[in-house]
Amino acid sequence: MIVDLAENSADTLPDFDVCIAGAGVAGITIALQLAARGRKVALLEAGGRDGSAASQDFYRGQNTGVENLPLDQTRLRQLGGSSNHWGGWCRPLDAYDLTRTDLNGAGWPIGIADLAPYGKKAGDVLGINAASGADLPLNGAEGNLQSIRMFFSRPPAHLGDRFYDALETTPNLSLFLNAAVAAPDFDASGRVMSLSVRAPGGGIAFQCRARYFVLALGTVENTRMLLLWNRDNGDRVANPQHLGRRYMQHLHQEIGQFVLFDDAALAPAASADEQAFMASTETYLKQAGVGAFRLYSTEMACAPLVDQLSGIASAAACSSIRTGGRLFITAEQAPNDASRITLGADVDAFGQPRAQLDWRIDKRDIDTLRQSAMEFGRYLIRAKLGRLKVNPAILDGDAPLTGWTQLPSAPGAAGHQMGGLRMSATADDGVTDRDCRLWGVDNLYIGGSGVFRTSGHANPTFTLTQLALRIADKLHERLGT
Amino acid sequence: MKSSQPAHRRHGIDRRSLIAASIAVLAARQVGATAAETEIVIVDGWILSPADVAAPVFGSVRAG
Repeated sequence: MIVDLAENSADTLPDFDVCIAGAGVAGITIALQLAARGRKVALLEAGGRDGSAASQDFYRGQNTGVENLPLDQTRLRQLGGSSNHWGGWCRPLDAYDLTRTDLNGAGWPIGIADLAPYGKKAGDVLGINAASGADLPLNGAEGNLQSIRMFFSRPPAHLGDRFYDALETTPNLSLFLNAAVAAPDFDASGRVMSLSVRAPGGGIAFQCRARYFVLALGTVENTRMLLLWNRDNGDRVANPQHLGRRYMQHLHQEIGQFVLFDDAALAPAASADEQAFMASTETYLKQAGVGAFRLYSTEMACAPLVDQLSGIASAAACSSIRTGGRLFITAEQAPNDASRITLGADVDAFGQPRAQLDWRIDKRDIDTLRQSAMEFGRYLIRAKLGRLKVNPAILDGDAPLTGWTQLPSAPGAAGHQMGGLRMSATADDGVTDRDCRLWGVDNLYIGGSGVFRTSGHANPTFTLTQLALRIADKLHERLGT
Repeated sequence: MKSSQPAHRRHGIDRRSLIAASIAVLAARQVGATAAETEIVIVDGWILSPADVAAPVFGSVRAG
């Protein structure tokens, strides 16, 4: 059943088993999983079936940190959420991403064995239907770089469209459009009893009562909502020490240009989707202590590069150059407490403070970019493939970086919004527990990549889908028979 | 008879690039870089092998 509050009012509603705020990748995944098992589910989407300027205006916010794309361009407030501009690239996190302690003080409270059982189903949800490359060692890379396999959803699945019929017809599932979550009511023990829901005009349309609740509004909006609830409830909802902190994005840069010799087996691809990817290995990360990274390239004319190189290197080094390429990186940030989401001074149409994002890039991140370039340069030399020229800002360690938002794939990288609600083994070290449940609120769960402690280099959608499937299992288990 | 000109001048090498290469190697050693890092030479942003730049200095590739 679908009820659009822009056109109809909600009739008398039953008590639900689970109320989910946010109909993006995480919210739709959890809702369909639970409804298919007979649970009564309410799914609240603040936007409509399609996007609109009025709805998108709620996502305006302020970037106060380093150069970044506007907050109302990196996320979408409509059915399907930000999957509506998803690029479809997928890869699971590596086991080491979850266990390493040198970047953030403690590893994730879950391991790869907790996520792996949901890999196949996550692929089905996201419509993964293509792959490129293989996880293999690279000759000449001395174990520091490896070829990796990437997976793709082509065309990228927009989950609102992909599952619209299922959302409309699945028994026990009620989807409310133009239904913005407002505030929770707590019982004496601190459990959420209901969420008030606003109609488009701003008035409270109904109270959604349920046994369990999930916030699945996206990293920034989940954090903003909890900051508002903390503000109105004496900081008792989410751990105020950590809420909004350690926000991360993937660093996305063109880190240099390279030339390849005649007999090099490596070849830059005409488009990013069609080529081989390479990435840092666990061995390298343990030795170098930098963030995980993934490299890929696109072809470029080599003549200007040959001109430069011939001025400084021997003729022998320049005589057999076949082609040139631009080298791009997707790299992991080291979690940084100063990188954070807060409430801004401006307010939205409902009178609520907008999100303010102070995204930081620190010296460890710049070191990751620099070391990745050095390692690729060494690889080209050792494997007798070619030579790399590194961009000056990367080589000199200048931070923050500028100009990256002009890259064609910048919107994708800026949409990789992670952290701020990190999961932890103990209540004093994070915002959510190992099951993505808010510390201190027994029946409130967080869907999305805000719970990530570290990001690896993998695009986050696949992992957040695995986590959503896991949340659905946990809730089904807790609801009992 | 030994030439009074420095080797790089005799072979027509840009002195600034030589200095940059030397500094890059020295700097890498000073900050405790791994052996792997000192195997490379950085000139004008290019990551090169020592052989790439040594050849024109001490050989005859770019002489005359």
